[in-house]
Amino acid sequence: MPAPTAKTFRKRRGVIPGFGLTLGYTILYLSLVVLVPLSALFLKTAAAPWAHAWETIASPRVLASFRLSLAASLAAAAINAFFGLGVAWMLVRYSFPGKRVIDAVVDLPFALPTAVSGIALTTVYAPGGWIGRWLEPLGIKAAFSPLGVTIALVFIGLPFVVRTLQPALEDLDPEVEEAAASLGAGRWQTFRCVILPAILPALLTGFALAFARALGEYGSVVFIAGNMPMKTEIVPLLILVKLEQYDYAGATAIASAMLVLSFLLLFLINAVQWWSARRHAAEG
Amino acid sequence: MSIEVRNVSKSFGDFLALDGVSLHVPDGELVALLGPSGSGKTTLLRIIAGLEAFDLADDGAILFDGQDVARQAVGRRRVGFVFQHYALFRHMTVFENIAFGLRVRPKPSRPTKAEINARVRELLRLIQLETLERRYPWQLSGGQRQRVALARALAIQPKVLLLDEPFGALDAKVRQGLRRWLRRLHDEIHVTSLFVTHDQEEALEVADRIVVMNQGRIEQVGTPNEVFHQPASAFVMDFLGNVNLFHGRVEAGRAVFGSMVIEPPGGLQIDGESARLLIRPHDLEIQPDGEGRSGLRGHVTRVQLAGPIVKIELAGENNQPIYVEMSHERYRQHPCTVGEKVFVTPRDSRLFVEDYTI
Repeated sequence: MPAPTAKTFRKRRGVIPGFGLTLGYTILYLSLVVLVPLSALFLKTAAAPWAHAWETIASPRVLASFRLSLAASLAAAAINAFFGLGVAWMLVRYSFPGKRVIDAVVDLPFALPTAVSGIALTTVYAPGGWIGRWLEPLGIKAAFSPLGVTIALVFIGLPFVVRTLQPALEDLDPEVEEAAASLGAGRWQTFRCVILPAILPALLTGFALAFARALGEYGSVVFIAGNMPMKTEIVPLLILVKLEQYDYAGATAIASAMLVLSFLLLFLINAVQWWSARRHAAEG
Repeated sequence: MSIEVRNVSKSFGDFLALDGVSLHVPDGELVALLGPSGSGKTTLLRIIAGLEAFDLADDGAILFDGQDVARQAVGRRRVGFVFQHYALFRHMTVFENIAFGLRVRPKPSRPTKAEINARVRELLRLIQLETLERRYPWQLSGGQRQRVALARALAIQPKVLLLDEPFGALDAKVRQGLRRWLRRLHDEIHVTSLFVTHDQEEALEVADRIVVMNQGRIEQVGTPNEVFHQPASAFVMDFLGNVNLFHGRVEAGRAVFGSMVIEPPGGLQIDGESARLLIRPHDLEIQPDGEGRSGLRGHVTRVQLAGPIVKIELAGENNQPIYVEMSHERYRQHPCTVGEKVFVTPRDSRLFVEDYTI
């Protein structure tokens, strides 16, 4: 454990020059790639008649898609947070032959074109597919159902959780667990009181990233979802549907609503994260 | 509570870390496990704590006060373990760290909030950190962290206290202060304690008894006096302080090291064996000349006057370096200068002929 020094005041100049320059650059960069396109979206929505926008968003089909997108994304992020923790734990704590291969496989969802993974997942989980054929007799319909949407979102979200947790777990000294055990703490107490608080900020970051990615995911979901109105349509798909119908005002209205909702949720997760990280914030 | 280890072995792959070790630690003693790195001392400590799996021979056992704990989990052994790098819970304050062992107890045996508060306060007073109970570990110095780690281990009222290189990560000055403090603390609370160190000075200064380990075996167990003045092996003598080592041979019942001849009372019966002579620097005497006496010739290559004693380096036969230490008073009586030819005689020495020791 490197000995963290109490607050030190640095006079030395950093490698990257000045606060002023970096702030200006940050704002310009964010404007060009994020803020300007998003503002255009809002302006477009605002220009359209409000009544039409509201009517579009409040229609049952759109509301159903919002429910599905949010529920499936939250579920997928939660599943990833749980199992991703297990994967990251194994990769950090144990060494075994083939570990590097598994480590690389975790990154595949990052690299694969989403349409490819969508088609692959559909093939496997469809009734009669490798896994789907075993689920069917159990009465579980994986592909072309909300479950299928969740499966696709779990797939694309996994690396976010694993990759954010790995450094946090590597930072965790195994001696701390031994210390807890020697003081009489059981496994669950050690996990809840010692390990979880230490990795919670990273876990929440991973959760937020997986969730955000899932909300915006389009390519892999549309194949496995089946896209049945009111049942398995996700929000990004509806936006595309509206565009294909030349209903630009409707599309921008849905997009804006999605944007506001995502922003609020991410802000909320960030707030929780800040709150949990505050206790040992000065550790850097 | 006494600790008894009987015939315990441990290997990591091909490496034999502990080779059938047996050890007895009497109740209430402060014992040092001393040895170079890789000698198995930390492994032994971790096995006693229950943190490390090991191979137990048929007649082997680990007993606390006569009770076999070899198959007990670490949490049930009631050992206080202090880690070299403290292993404090970094998201908890000093107070919460110390209280941890009490708060995780199962409901029936858990002390009340008031009792926990009282116990932690008492420990904070013991480690002299009463004012820092709200600090987090990263806001403390290394020495303070180690004291918190000790208080956390003591909070569960352990039957034995085990410390793994407790001062290893601290700088020299803090180290010295803290080890004297540990000695005083032990005199106060008298819990059977075992600490690992590779620093012979630390072991000699702090421990009631020293266990010298080398290559997975125990070389000698004894009081600091015994291991220093009557080392059981050349290794022990070499490890506990500086020595001059001379290689020679047994001839006609005497051990011969060049012009220096050692004649043990009763003589040696094993002619032709190689012999080793170990002499501590302060047991050598420098004389201007030594007509007809047993000793070594050499010339002075360095004289160091700074420090509590005078250290003199000589080049002996075949340019073998010889280290001599003496008091300033003695040096003033017989001063010598660099380049001067002198004669060295041992006042005391230890002769090792294979397994035969004098």
